[in-house]
Amino acid sequence: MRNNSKWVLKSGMVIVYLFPFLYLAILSLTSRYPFPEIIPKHLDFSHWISVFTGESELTQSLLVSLTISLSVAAISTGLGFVTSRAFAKNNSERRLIKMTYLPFLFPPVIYASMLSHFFIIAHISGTVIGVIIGQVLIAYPFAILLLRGFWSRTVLTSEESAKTLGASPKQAFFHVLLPMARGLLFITFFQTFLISWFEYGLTTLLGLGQIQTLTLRVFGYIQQGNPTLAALSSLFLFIPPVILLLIYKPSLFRRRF
Amino acid sequence: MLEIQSLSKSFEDTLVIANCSFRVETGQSMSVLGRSGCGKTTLLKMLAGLIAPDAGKVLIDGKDITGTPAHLRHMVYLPQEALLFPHLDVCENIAFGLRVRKKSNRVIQDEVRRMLEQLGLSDKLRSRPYELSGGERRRVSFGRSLITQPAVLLLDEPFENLDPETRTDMQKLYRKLSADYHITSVFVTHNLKEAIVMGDHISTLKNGQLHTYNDVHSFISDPASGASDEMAFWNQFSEKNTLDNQKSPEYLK
Repeated sequence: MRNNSKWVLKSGMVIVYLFPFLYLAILSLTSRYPFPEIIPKHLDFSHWISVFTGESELTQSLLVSLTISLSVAAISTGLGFVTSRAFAKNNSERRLIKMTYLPFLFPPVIYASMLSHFFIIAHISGTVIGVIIGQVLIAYPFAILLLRGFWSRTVLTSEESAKTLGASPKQAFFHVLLPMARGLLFITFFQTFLISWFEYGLTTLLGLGQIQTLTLRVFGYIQQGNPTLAALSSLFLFIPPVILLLIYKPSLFRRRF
Repeated sequence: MLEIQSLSKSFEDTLVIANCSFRVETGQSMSVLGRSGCGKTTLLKMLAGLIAPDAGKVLIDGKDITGTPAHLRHMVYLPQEALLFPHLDVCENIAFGLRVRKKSNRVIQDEVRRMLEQLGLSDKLRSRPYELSGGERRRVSFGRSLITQPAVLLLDEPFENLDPETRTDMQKLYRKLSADYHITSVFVTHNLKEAIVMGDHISTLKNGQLHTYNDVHSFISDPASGASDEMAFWNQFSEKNTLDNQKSPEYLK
């Protein structure tokens, strides 16, 4: 009896989690889905095929999104690690941390409109590089705030011990600090990737409509009233975060020392 | 031989170490006794090259190493907690100093095996730090330092947070290993008994001033060291016991 109720509860949870994906998958396979049909009579795979043959604009957007988000996550995590370490060793750490919160005082769109003037002067508006820089300016302080908790007295003393044992600053960084921070670095990479992946306002303003990420495409298809392509692009929007989640699952749910 | 000449350090307006000088012969141990916050750790970190002194010199065998970076000094600093690297097992923790010096795998294996035998930890080769007791972690920490055969070992209250029995065992183990490896060391503590047990020479650090005693007797006889007060405290119980024993009925003796 108890096992049965557990099974019902588990099945219910699986259905609740999977239903949005199933619904989007069905929507992406038909251009006609009249009420009260549960499963549409005519399934059309042409949109899916065009994505995989590279004929669809979605393929291009997927590649652009991956390039931008992986770059933003890698740059922000790397810089955030080094900067948070410098903050931890600085006497004015609290003041520096307060300053790190400054970019979050403004909504991203207002922040982007303030930046866009300088981006136009630098000729990087409407370019992938420009969007990456714009998004890094949001994700980088976020990475610093996430990683600052790592630099405890224990970690700093471990670094000192390693140096007196004969490790050069580079060896102490790569053989002691990086392995100790691995779990938190994975989390920071994942979080900054998500910030970039779902970013809309800043990308719209700094991309000047020329940089069409997957998130921008989804909004575009919804505005055009095209549920098939909106569903298809939404599904692609889900895939990379799910893959990252599966790869980093041990780090995300591991107990910290 | 380790020699310190007129070492000074201030943090903002606070003078922590004032014109401090001493000398420790090779293979000898110097105990530095002082209260918490008196600057003992600052003194050790200056010797290790982790904090830059405002003035003064640090010399090893007559060579000035004041400006030498920590990793080239060959002086190992052991912090208060036995901070083993959590991502490495016991074997790799002990091997760390040899690995960064790019020794061959054969040399590393032999050295680590020998060290583990001396530490009585041969069965813990592949254990992770979180699987060890406090005393075992401390032993690994010693092994990790001694295997590099440092010119000077700097011990920052290394037996804190250990129970009295383990503490005594560790003191004996350290004395033995120190003699075996002919290690020169500076040992800071706020524990008077430990300062006497661990040091060939004793000095006290108070208000930034270091006072070095010629021998244990001059340390004990100096009222400023606090040793005579401590002995008087324990002696009163010894005398009381003797009196109590005299008063006790025969069958209780």
